[in-house]
Amino acid sequence: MKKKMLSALLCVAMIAATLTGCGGGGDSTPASDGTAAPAEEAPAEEAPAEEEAPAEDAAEEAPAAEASDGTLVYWSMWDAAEPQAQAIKQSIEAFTAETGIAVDVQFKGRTGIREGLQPALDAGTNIDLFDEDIDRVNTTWGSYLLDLEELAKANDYESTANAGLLAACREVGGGTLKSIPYQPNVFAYFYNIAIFEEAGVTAPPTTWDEFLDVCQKIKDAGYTPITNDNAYISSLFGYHMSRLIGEPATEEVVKNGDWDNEAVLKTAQAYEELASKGYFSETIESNQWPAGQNTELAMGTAAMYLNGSWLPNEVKDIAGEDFQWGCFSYPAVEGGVDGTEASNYGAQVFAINAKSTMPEQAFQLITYLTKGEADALLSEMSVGIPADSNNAEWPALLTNVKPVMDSLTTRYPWGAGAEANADMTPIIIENFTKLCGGSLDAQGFVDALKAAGN
Amino acid sequence: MKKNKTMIVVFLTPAVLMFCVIFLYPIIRTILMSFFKIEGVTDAVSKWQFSGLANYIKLFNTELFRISMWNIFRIWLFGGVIVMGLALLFAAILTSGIRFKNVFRAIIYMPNVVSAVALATMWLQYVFSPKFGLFKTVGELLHWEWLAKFQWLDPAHLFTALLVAYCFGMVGYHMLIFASGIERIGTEYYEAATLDGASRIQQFRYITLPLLKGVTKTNITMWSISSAGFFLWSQLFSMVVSNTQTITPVVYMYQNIFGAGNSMTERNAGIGAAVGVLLSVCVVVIFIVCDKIFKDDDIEF
Amino acid sequence: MAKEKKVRDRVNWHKELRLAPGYIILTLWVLFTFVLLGWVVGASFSTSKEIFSGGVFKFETGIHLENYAKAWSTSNVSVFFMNSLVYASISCALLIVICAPAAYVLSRFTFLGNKLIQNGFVAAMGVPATMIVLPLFGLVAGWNILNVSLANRAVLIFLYVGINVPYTTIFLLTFFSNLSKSFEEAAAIDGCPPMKTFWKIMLPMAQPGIITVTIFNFINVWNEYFMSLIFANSDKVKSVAIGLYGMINSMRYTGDYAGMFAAVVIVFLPTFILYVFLSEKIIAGVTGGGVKG
Repeated sequence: MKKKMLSALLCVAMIAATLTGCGGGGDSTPASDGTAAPAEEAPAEEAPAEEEAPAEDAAEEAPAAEASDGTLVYWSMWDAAEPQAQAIKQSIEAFTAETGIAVDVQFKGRTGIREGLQPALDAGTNIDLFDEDIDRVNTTWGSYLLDLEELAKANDYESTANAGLLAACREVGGGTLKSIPYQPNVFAYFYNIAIFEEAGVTAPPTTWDEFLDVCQKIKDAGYTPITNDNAYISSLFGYHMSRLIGEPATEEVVKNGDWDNEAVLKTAQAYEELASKGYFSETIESNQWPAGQNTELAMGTAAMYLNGSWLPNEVKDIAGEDFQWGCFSYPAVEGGVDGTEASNYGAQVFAINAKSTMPEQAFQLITYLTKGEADALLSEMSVGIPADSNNAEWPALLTNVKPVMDSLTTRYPWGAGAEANADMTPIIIENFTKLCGGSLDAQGFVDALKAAGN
Repeated sequence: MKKNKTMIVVFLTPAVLMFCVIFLYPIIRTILMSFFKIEGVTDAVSKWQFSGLANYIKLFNTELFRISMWNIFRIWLFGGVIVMGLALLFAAILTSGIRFKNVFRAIIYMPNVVSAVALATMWLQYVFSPKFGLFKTVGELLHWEWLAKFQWLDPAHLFTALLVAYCFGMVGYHMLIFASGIERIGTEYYEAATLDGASRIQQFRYITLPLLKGVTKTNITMWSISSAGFFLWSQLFSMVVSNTQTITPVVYMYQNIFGAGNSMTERNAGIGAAVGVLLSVCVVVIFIVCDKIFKDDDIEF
Repeated sequence: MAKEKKVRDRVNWHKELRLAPGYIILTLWVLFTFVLLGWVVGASFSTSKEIFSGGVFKFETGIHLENYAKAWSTSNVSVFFMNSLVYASISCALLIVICAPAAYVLSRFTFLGNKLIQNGFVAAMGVPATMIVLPLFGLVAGWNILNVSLANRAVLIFLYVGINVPYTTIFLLTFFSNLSKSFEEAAAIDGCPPMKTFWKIMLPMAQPGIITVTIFNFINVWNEYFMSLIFANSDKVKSVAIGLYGMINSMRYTGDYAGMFAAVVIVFLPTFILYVFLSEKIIAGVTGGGVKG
């Protein structure tokens, strides 16, 4: 009997001990030594107490370790292995060497920032600056941001910055500058120039009729004109609606469930026509991201895809080096409010925590990262658009995106309003996908949305 | 029983203490939150706006939330029947004295150890692919038209696809629980039964099954809990934005707490909290019902 | 015991034949698993282009070992491994020590509050992790201890244990409730005090349950993502799950799917070996005494 009990207990303890033993090889020695002990002696009640003890001891040295030694803390939206992170890391090293300001950069990744930033700020964690998407930073975390107007003026920041993007930052920041944009992006139709040429299309379409014409030519040449994935398909709906009645009106329709608005039916009819003429990929209904962009567009069987300017970088391994990217803004629709000058464009933005004790240094770092060499390096390594207007040379894959970006004057938010109502988004996507796949007609689409509103 | 009082206290205290330290504050906070309108989960209490039952009323009036509850119910019921059936079958075979038991067991459990992100990518981009998928290839090989043509990933069938992929991964987990339950049954029973001339199947029916009541209860409880928390697979099966076929209450909660997809939508952590409370209540109800059904009939051995 | 084993090892064809249907079913399932997981491994050796054109098993462009080199070098995999190993093994041991007695008492004795505690535990498991973890973080982050890595590790382990207490306790309940009371009665007659009886007799008898729950706890802690994401404040204390997600996301955002699968395999292989090793080790350790029901 004794033996059994011993073996049972010992076994659990032994595994803990052996495993932590191997674990102790690296820098984790103190942790394993300190905490493996209670397991071996197995005093049930003491275990939690033992855990807390070191924590309390350590608390005393905690503030000294970080708060006032002049290190900037930067929480980054990139994952450590991403090219953006590597470019930023490299530039930060150069920055520290140049200015003597130490920077503690934490690559939290998108989820890490999205889920963890606000709790950390609420808890008073020491964070000087962070970055994320322009809309999220300014709307979701707007109350935590330091107003940057003064700093920007003092440093003459705007002389070489993208004016349109800064204007966008002010717009979403409630009239004042609370964030500094970098890594701009634009959401438009991306296409395979080789297929366009083979089909005899000389210029990208600017109106809906030209668009239909282009689709027909591509279909005749034996290719799939349009493909998409579940992740982006709602933008087709949003863009078309916004071309017809403008983005604010589209957003109203989506938010209030005003599906009787005739623009909804008109949009649905336009897509019913595309579907009935066979302009969509055969598998459009089954395309789960990234199937459409990877297996159709990048493989060269489909010609056009409405997506962001990150697309060429995402599929470059599949598309190959000689893939030529074209880009055009969503075509204008007859009798519509908006033309090709309107699109969703934006950027990642840096922002400074209003509670930061080193705002000047933080701004210095932001300036360093978004201008000159650091900006060029980031653009090159991540195949992204440069933020500094002096960095006129865009990555080769994006050369044709520049004229589109430069022509934009009106900014749509994400999805051009199609995803403004989170309770409706999945329902819109489901039915719009069916519409594109031909298993639902225009009236059926409208009816389905109406039914869901109740 | 008097003598056992100290024992009860001493044995229970660490676990209950731990439980209180970790769960009590968040749970009470969550219940309170569900009656308020709150933008961020960690907002200070001073920023909360009391809204009574408004969050619950809004939930029940939202089509998408109803869809998410329906989805989770389908996963729980259909998935539960499939997974429990297969798990019990495999556990019975494993413990029937076959060779290479450990190898089989390890391999069946293996999908649980592989990252769900990789598994989901594998299912979506390979197995279910309408172009070169495994099911398509197998269907063509066997001349099963329906299988070759089946569109797993379109809005009409995405749920089935999700269910298949999820169940595949979960069988191993529940199999281990069943198997450990069977292993605990003494071999004397089977030896005696074999001497009496009972067949394997009879032994399973009259010895194994009745003695597995407790383990079955554990299995159903655990299955219900993992169903209630169904999140990762749903997200992986609808990248970036959620989908009517795959959305579950926890995904809905997530959208209300952190925003949906890439667009800036209204956030209300109070609604998220209300979802959490509802799920929790469901799980407790199932647990209590199970307790009643699988009452310990003083099974002893 | 030894003799019995010898007999078992000789192939008994009559018996094997009777088990044939079982073999067939298991083999089919295992084959299916092999194809699926084989595809994951195959994908890690191919290119993104092959993955998305259905050419994973063909290896037309050869075997691409560079995926592994890339995945390994872009991340601190070895540090994350050691961290997770430490967290998971300590947490598992503590969990058994804390939960097994509680489960025993809850399953054995009727007393005021028993059902309440059980229902409370189950309810706690039904609450989504977000609602538990974020408020806790709000509390702990205020103490300003997360900046010291030793304290950060201790907090993480404490949380891993605490979060899994309800699960482990509920899991073990049934394993104790089905044990015969005659053992305790016999022990009591022999003059063994009840607490000693538990550690000496009852705990070893629940061993299949303890083995199983320890495996699950280990994998749970190993794969735990959300809490580690929120609480692990620096690269030094990050767990494998966080590191893996970082790698996976990096690869996905840059469209490097072959690299992504390589990262997955790098993390999976040691975990699997650990799983096999761990279960064998625990089984061997506990059954050493030859417990019989």
